[in-house]
Amino acid sequence: MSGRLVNGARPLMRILKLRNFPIFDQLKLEELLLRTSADNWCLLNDGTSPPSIVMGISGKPEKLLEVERVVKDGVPVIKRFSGGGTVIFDEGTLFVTLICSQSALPRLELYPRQILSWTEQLYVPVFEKAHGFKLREHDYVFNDRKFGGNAQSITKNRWLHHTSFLWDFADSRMGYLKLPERAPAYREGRNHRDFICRLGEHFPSREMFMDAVQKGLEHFFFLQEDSLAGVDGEFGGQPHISTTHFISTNELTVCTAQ
Amino acid sequence: MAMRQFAVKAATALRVRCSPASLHGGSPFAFSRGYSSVVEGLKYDKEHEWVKVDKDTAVIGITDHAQAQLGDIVFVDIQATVGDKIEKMNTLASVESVKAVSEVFSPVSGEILEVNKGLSDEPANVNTGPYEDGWFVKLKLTQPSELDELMDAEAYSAYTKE
Repeated sequence: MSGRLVNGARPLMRILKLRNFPIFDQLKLEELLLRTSADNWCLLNDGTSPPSIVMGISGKPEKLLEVERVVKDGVPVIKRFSGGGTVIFDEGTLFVTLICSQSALPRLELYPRQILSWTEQLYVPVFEKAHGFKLREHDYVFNDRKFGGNAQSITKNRWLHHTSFLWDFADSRMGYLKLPERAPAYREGRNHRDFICRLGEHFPSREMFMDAVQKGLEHFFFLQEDSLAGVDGEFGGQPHISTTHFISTNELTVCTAQ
Repeated sequence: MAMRQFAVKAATALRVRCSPASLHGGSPFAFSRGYSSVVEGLKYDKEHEWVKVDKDTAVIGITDHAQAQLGDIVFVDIQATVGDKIEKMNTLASVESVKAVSEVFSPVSGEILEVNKGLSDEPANVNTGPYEDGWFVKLKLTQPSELDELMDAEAYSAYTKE
């Protein structure tokens, strides 16, 4: 099945549609499919529960989180396997993850900027009716306000690009995050409230957005819907490197003590 | 970026040489690093790792081409420790750049002798000195014949232009 061309020249992409799937489970699933499958995948997840903080592979809680408040409120903190910054996900977040073999897009060099540039090609038609969409440095923005963050993991002949779109967000939850030391130049020191915006203000509905993403993917892939049960049956239990993990309350507490 | 590309092409065309013996302990280049992206005397693989061989040991890193493509490297996690026995194409390390984690593979099989712990504090050394301070591991070769499968500087230079 891997890499084969169907329906003309478009390679097959298996698509999983999820709703309110816990982000920890989603990240574990992504690592599983990146490392054990040879197929191309799209994961769409409409919202997540419980609200969780997710940090990139090199993130340090004491530098990126208001740790005492996070611990006090019992917010789960997850360290993911991809790069990038720290975000808080909840029911207002929409997720689009792409996992591909090099053979699917053979002219695409498997380096971060090249992959990111390709995703801009994917998303431009998705957002054609929304004013001001572009890829700015490494973020998806409407003009100068970020509404989608992304990160990648690149391994031999396979790559993963996952995006979280802020359909909606609670201002109060942004208070768990510190202003990062490393930030894109266009942020210009703005706080979260002035830097980000809601995708829901630029699109009629969540369903229409997810449909538009699928239509965008159909320019490049032949989509075939799959199921979690099917994935579990096919790949579950296969040994692989799995680095996504929770940061324990004890580890967070130690951070603040140092 | 345009000047750098011109310089790289000029250096490659002129076959800029440097002394491999001066690597991993001294200034490696006859010219400034900005005018050379491939070092004579090293071996290279298609995943853009380099190997410097000294009798039965080898030093491994990623090439100038790779570090330029990756962008600013902000985190290096070398996953091998001294004493580990690794096979060719095993994952040696993960590097983070531009919100992406990319894997670094070992071009040869061997037993790890030394790990560049300095990259934990100074990951940018991979960008500023990919053939110098940016080395990843030193190992004892267990399958020296694997070196025959690697490219020399000329072949690698041509490969990066494809």
